[in-house]
Amino acid sequence: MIDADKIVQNLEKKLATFGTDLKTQNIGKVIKYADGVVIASGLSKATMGEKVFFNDGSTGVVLNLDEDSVSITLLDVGQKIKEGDIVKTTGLTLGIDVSDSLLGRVISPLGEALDGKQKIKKDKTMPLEKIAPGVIKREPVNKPLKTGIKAIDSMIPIGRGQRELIIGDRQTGKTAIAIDTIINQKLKTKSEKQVICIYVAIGQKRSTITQIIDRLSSSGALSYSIVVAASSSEPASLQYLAPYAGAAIAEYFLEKGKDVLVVYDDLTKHAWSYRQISLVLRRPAGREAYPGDIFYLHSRLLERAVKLNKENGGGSITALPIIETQANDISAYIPTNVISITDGQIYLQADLFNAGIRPAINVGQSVSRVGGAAQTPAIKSISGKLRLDLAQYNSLAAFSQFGSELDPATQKQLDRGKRLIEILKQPQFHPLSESLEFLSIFAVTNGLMDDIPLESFERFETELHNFIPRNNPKIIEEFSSGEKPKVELLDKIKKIILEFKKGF
Amino acid sequence: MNKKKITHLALESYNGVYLNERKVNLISSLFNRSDLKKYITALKSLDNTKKIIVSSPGYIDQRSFSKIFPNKRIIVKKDSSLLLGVQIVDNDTVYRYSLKDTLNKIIENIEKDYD
Repeated sequence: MIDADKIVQNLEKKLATFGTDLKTQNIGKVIKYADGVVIASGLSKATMGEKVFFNDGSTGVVLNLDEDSVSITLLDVGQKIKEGDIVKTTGLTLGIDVSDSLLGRVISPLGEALDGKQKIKKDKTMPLEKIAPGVIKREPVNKPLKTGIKAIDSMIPIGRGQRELIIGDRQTGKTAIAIDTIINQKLKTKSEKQVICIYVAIGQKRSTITQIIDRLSSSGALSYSIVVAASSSEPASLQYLAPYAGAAIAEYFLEKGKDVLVVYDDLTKHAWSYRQISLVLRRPAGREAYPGDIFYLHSRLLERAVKLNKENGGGSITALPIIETQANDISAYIPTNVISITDGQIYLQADLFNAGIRPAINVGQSVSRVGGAAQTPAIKSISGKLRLDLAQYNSLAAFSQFGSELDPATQKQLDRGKRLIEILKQPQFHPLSESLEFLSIFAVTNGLMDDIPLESFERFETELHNFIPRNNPKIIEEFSSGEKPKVELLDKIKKIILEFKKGF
Repeated sequence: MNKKKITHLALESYNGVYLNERKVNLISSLFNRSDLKKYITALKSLDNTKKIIVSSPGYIDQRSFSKIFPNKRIIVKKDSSLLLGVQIVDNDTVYRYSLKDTLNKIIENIEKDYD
């Protein structure tokens, strides 16, 4: 309830000091407006990246400072802007209002709610552009970020504070990996630290964004997630700003010591929108018509992913940028740029996808530069054998094409390899806990599934995952610490799996 | 003719803070169509730097402003929306004292503090 006396007191106070509030504004006039860019005269005190307002309420950002004019990119449609309109500076650079109430919400890159719910409360304004934390504030990545996907957690592990690129052609499951990772961050025990997830949709169809939100909501993941949406129908300026808005929100939670995961889906469209803005601003075009600072566009974004040391809060921002390739060409301009910035890549191939291997990860060409430092001892103990067996299978697989008879050892290696590939398949939206991942991979690498037909693998695995927690819950508890299992425990697991096989 | 020369000619068209009509006619007769457009643009932007627009709802003492801005033309306008204040437009900078702005600030603070 607003106190009327307080308002009157405020007013009287203001009247008493009236005359000392001087408002100074720098103004300009619209000379030209085309393709979402306004050229204005005046604005001699405008700074680069400053927010400006137009008469009709539209907002823009200054992106070019020329001798006699200033180029402004509009942040909304600006249908009523005409020549001669006044443009005013604000003295502010672009920022986004953030608070804890952003969790579970869908917002635009400027912080406006898009989900039709109540207005978002403001705790702080975070700048969209910020210099990444320095070397002194950081510490090496040493804690895993579990995706719940067996192939990734075992062979391409991601750590908190790492940047892992997801790269592949269209419709190969790139977004699926990101969504499964977000769903897997749901807390399983109270002792765990909740990872805040931010999904930045850049230039995607609204129907796709809706499906993603729906999936996150039905999986219970939306409560700890934020969706920043700049769909394909938004102006290129908003698509350009969307990833920086995601990074700014992540930094708000990072300052509170939280671990944050940011998915940028996808940076190819981000590069396209920046190219469009730069060409309209008449900036010199370079290779493939991209501007000269296209590398800096992504490097300054991804450098904001960080693992802070304890003195600076101990929080982290993990980045999962997504890049779409054309015809599997990872040596194109934008993919090579982003590969050189990130700490590894998950390479998805369409022919693996079409062959039924989903997730369609090419393990040979995927890498995590953080590696074992981002794995628990339990998973590390079995991933070495897995990787070796798969590599041996890949080198022998070509021989199986000849159709000639192979010696028993080679045949056994090939059969084992097929089983490894089969166990690494995983349905969408079903991330697994570390203990269940361990069980599956352990069973195959120790030959316990050599006599199971390939067609029955999925059913075997599902029933095994139901059998062990139901009949031996203590085994699962022993794994949840992530410590390297003792020999006695491994023997126990072998006995349990053999027992299960009798009834399968 | 390049832009620098046209801007220089536009400067030369002035006598102090006032445009010299004879000079303007003489110079403009030398230009082709595109250069003439540039010359007009230069004159317009120069004119903004040589004048001050003072707006107020009431009476303005022009002489006091002439003392503050000795090398500029003072143009006085009436603007009742200012509500007991004065607005000075110096090229692209606007200085404003106004009760309207103060009241708007109070509204903003109330909206911020009271949900």
